[in-house]
Amino acid sequence: MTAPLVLGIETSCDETGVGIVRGRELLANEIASSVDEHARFGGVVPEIASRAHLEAMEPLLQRACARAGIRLGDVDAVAVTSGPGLVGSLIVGVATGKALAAALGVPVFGVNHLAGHVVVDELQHGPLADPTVGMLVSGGHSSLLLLTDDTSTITPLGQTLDDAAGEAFDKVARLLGLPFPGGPWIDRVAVEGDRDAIDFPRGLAGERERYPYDFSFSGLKTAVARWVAARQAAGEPVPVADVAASVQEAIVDVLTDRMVAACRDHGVGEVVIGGGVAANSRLRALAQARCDAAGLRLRVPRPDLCTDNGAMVAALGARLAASGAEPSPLDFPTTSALEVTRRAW
Amino acid sequence: MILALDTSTALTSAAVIDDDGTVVVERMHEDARRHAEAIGPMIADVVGAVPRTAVSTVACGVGPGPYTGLRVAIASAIAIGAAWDVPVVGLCSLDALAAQVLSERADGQGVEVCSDARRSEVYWASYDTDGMRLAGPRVRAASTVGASVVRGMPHAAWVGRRVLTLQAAGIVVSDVALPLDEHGTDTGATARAMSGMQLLPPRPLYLRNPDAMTPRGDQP
Ligand SMILES: [Zn+2]
Repeated sequence: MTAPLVLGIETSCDETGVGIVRGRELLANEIASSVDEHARFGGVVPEIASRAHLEAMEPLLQRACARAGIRLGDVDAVAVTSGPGLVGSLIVGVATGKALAAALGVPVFGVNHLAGHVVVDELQHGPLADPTVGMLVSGGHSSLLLLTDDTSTITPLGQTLDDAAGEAFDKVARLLGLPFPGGPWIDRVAVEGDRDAIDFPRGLAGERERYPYDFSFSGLKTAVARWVAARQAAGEPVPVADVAASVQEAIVDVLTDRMVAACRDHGVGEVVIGGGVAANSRLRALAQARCDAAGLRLRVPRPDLCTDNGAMVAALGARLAASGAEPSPLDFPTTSALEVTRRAW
Repeated sequence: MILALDTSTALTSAAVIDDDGTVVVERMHEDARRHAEAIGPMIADVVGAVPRTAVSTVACGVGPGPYTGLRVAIASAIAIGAAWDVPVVGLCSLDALAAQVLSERADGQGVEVCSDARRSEVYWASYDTDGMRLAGPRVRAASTVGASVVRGMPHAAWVGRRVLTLQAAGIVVSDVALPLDEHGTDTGATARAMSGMQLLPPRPLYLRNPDAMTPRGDQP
């Protein structure tokens, strides 16, 4: 028996994604982004994102089918992100997914976006270990999860108490006069800088007892703003490369420290990093070094599978379908703050 | 047969009508915040009530409508059209409301219709006795519309019927680029492009900019 053919739809933020998988085989991963339309606002504008999702959906469905060499009628199941995310954006994908499933007479799985970021690595590096720790870092989320083979739940270990890691990059980039989204620019500029030049604060560093796996980045942004303002007040030039490198180090130091602690404390041997910030070169290098030192296997999907995409939703749907999980009822809701412990609806 | 959907008001509505305009199956649910939840079972119901190959067109109300759920019917119609490989058309939701009102009265008068746009405003359009749109759709202050105005809710059966009559009259989908209407005003070009008898592409008639997020003096 061949593995089920699953079409996945992702519309939780500003990327519209349609992915098609057969089991763990990736057949198509088509993405449209409205990021350029948000750039001049310095952040995602929900109504602009919602409008863009609807415009992009039909061409993406057609392109994904063409790329996969299938017809929509061949699809065995549909999976769609039900949350967390922007409600106006989510409902475009959810309406599309429900209507496709109803029209094709196939089951639909409303799935948890965060779990998708971890499970997507099965498309590239094979089955996940049981259990696995996932660290998700993007403009929308920073969290540590514990996944087991039980497909019904995932356990949240920790998350950011304020800004997401990607948001911290964006805000610092703006302070330094770098474009949005800021992460890739900080990464690029930091190459020329000294990451030990400025000792920016590590959020929650002294509160390991109370917040063993949580993050906090809002204080960092404030510290950078103060540091830059003091330089400017003194009439001195701002060493952009040094600031970028030092800020980047502060962020990835905390992330990788908590990630390794989560694995160690839970006796987990494998960790997956997902989300757009996983593309950060210093995060990857430091995570690899610390995993090597701790005897952990680090898994990072390639960049197009790290950022929000439809393949991650399809991968999770395929895993659910293969495990015999109950499909979602057709009236399943969208949830902006979907409890992370629920993988499927 | 035409399968029609509308979520331009607080109603979520799905229907299939026969080629003579008879309603074969219809589902409605009123909850302005649950369009995306409600539409799933409704689509399953109407799809299950007719042979799949009998549906020749999928139609959707494209608004105007004040809710983020406006997109639900349109996204769903596009998905069904793609799944079945049948054409998808849009219809100004106020046109359906006008047709409904005109069918229920025989005084030889045209009609003005409006629906709730929130913020003390309404979406408004005016029609002749044949249901031809003469002006609108526009956003207007609710206080400026006259007593002749009929307030109501379009629903899918009337979207489908209106599409059927337009198709019978040889009206085809015009892929007009709909200019973004400034809040509360109506440019001449918009009025010309949008009045009269038209089937539209399945694309929302927003009539408002992406919600005041655009900085002042920085209109697209
Ligand atoms: Zn994400």
